Amino acid sequence: MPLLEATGIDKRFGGVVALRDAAFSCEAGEIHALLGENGAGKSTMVKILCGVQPADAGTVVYRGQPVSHRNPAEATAAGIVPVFQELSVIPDLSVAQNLFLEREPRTRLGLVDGRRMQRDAAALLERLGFGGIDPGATIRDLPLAERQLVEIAKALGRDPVVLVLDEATSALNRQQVEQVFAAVRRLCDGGTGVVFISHRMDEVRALCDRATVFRDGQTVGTVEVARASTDEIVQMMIGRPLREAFPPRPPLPADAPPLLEVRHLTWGNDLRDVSLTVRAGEVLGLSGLEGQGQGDLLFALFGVYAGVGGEVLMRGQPVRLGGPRGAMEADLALVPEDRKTQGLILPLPVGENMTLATLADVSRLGVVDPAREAAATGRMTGALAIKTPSMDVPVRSLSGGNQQKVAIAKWLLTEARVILMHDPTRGIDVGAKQEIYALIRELTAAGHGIVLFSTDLAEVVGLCDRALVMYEGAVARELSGPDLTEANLVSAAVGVGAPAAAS
Amino acid sequence: MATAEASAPTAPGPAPADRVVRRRPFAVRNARLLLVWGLLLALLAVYVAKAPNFRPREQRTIANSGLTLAAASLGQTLVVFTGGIDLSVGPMVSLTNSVASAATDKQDPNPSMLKATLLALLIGAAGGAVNGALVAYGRLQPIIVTLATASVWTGIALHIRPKPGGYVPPDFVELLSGTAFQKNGPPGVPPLPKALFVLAGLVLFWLVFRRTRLCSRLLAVGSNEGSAYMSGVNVQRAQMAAYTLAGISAAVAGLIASAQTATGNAWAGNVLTLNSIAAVVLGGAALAGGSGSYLGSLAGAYVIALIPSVLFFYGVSPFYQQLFQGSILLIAVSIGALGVLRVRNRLDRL
Repeated sequence: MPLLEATGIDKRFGGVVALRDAAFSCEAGEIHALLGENGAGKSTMVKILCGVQPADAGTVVYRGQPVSHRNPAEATAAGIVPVFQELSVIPDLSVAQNLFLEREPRTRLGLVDGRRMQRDAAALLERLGFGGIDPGATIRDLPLAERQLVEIAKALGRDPVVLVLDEATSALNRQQVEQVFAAVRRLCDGGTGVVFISHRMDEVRALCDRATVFRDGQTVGTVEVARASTDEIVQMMIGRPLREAFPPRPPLPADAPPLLEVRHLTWGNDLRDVSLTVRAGEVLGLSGLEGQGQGDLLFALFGVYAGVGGEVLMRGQPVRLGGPRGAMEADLALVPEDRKTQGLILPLPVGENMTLATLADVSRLGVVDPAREAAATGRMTGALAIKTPSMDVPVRSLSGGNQQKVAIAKWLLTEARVILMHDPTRGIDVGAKQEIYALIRELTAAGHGIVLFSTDLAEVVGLCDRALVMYEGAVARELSGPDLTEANLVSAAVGVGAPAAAS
Repeated sequence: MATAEASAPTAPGPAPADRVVRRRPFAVRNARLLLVWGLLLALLAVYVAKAPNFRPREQRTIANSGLTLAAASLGQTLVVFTGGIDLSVGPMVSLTNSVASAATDKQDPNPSMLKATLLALLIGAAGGAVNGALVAYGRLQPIIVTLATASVWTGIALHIRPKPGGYVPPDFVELLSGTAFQKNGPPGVPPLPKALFVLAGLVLFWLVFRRTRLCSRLLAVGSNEGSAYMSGVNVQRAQMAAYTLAGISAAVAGLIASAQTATGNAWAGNVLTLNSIAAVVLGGAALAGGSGSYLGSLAGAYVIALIPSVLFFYGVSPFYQQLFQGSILLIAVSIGALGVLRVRNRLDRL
C-alpha cells in the first residue's frame, strides 16, 4: 500500500483547469519526482497535498486513511512537510527561532527555552551538515543559499513522514545540493517518502526512484527513472520530440558597431575593473560560479548601485549611473532575476505590467490612452505568444513562463537597444524556454545587443556569441567561437585552464 | 518591503558549502536600542544639570511624566510587531480614565478602586478585541479600523464624562503616583517614586512576554505574514492577541492617568495615540513590523516626556515646545536611519 496516494484530483481556478483526473502515489522510503512544464499542474498537486488549497474533486489517501488537510499547519502536524521555492522562513527571526517556530522547546513555566533552542538548532544544523550557519543569526543577514538551507533544515527537523521538496534547492551550489541530497537519502532509509520537484533533470536522475509526468493538468505516466532516458521523459513532458534546442546563430558581421562599452567598472570589492563591449546583433554571455559579480554587473549597469566607478558608454555617449531612469534614457533595459518582486507587480493586470515602463508612450496629456495601450499590449502578446485569458487578469494568475514573457515584453516596449537579462529562463518550462531563445535571436537579428547572465551552461554555449567568465568580481576569461564549450566554462569558472585574459 | 527582501544585502563571493555565517555583533544588532537609551540618558543629564533641585519630589515628577505613555506604548509596540498600528490607544486611555472616575462613589466611607480597575481592564480588553476581530477576521486595514474605533471610544467617554470631574480615592492616587520609603523605608534605601515600581512591572511583563511563543508569532506575522501562515502560525489569533493586549495596556495607562490627575477627563489620553507611535519608532521598532523591543519603546516614551521639562528649564517658551519636540524626534529617527546611506544598492534604500 502506498504511503501517500492521490487519485482523480480535479482543480480549477476560475475558468482555467489546473488539474484534471490527476493521480500519483509515493511509497515509504521512495523519492518520487513530479515532472512537467510550468503550468502542467505539479505545484497545484503538491499544494493540495500540503493543505495550501483544497481539491475540487478526488481523494488523497495517506497512511491508509482518506485525508483533506484544511491548512499547512494540519498537514504538517500529520507529517506531510513541504519545502517550497518561495521561502517560508521569517526574515526578522533568528535561524533557531525559525527552525522551531510553533514547536519551541519550553521550560516548566511554559516560556520558550532559548538556550535549549539554540543548542538543539546547532545540533540539527550540524547533523545535516550545515554547521557553518550560526543558529543565532537573523535570516535577513543570511545569503540566499543559506536561507534555503535553513528552510530545508526546518522541514527535516520536523521528522516528516512525507517530505515535499518543490524547487527547494534552486539557490544552492553543487556541494550544498549534495549535502541536502545526502540528508534526504538518510531520511528515506528511515522510511520517509519524498515528493521531489525540480527543473534540473540531473538532480532528478541523481536522487529519484520514480517520476510521474504531468502535462496540461493530467497525468501522462509514471516511469522508473533509471530505466527511462532523458529524451523519453522530456518527450512525455512536452508531448512531442525535443527539437534542436537552440536557434541558429548567424555569424556576427565584422563591422557590427559597438553599442555598449564598459570600461574599468568597479564597485567595492564586488566588481573589480570590469571592461566589456557589446556590439549590435551580439549576445554576450556572463558565466562563472554563482555570486561572482555577474548579477552585480547587471545592477551596476542599470544604475541600481550607488558608488560605481568606471565608465559606461552607449553608442559612444556616457551613461549616468544614477538609477534605472538614467539607464532607460540611455536605451538600456534590465530583465531582473526575480520576476516576482522586481520584474513584475503581481497583483496588477497583465496589460498594466507591460506598459509600466512606457507609460509616456501610451498616454496623451498624462492620461493613459486605452487604444494605444491595447495596441502596445496586443502587439507584444502576439509577438511573444503570451498565453493569457485577457489583458485584465492579474499577472500572478499566469504560469511562470508566461509571467516571464510579460516581464520581457515590458522592456521590449521601451525599444531599448541593449537588453540586460538575468537568468531569464530560470524556473520556466522547456517550451517557454525555447520561445525565449528564439526571441533573443530575433532581437539580435534586428540589431539589438543582449547581455545574458545565465546559470545554465548549455544556454551560454548554445545562445551566446561570446562569454565572459567572472570570478570574484572580475572577468577571469573570455571565451568565443570553438573555445566556447561547457568544459571551458567550467574550468574557467573554478580558475583553472588557460590564464586569465582581459576582454 | 518585498523589494528590499529579494535583494537583501548578501555577501557576494564564492559560496562553498562549508562557509561560516555568523550572527552580527551585539552592538550592531542592538544599535537602535543603544541609541535611544543614550538619548534618554543624555536628556536626563541635561535636565539634572539645569534643574534647580533633584529631590524626591522632582524625581517623582519626572518618573510620573512618562508613565502613562510608557504603559500605552507597550500595547502599541505589540501591535507594531505584527505590522499593524493602533490609533485608538489614546481614546481608550481617555475612556478607561473616564470610567474609572465614575465607578467609585465619593460618599463611600471605604472607597475601593478594585471595581473601577477591573472594569477598566475589561473595557480595554473588549475594545482591543473589537479592533483585533475587525483586523484579523474582517481583513480591514488596521489604520482605518482603529481610526474609526478611536472616534467611538471618544464618543462613549464623552457620554460618561461630558466635562472633567469624578472621584478617585486618595489611596489610589498614592499607590500609583506617590513616593515610596519616604518616611519609614528600610535603612539605606532612599525614597523612590512609586512610578518606578509600575515601570518595573511593565518591564517584567515584557521580559516574560518576549520569551513566550506568542511574541515569536507576533514578530513572525509582522515580518512575513505568508511565511508565518505556511509555518503553521495562526495569523488571525496572533493579531487578535496583539490588539487585545494593546487595549489592556491602554486601560492600564488610563488607570495611571486617573491616579496622576485624581479625576476623569474624556480627552485625558488622546495625545497618547501619536506619542505612543513616536515612542515605538524612537525605540527602534520597524513600522512595517517584525522587529523591535519594548525596552526601546519605554526609553522612547521617556524621551518624549522629558523634552518639555528640559525645554522649560532652559527657558524656551512653551509656544516653541512642539517645534522642538518634533525636531528632536525627526533628528533621532534620522540618526537611526543613517545606516541606509551606506547601503550601496539603491533597491535596499527604498
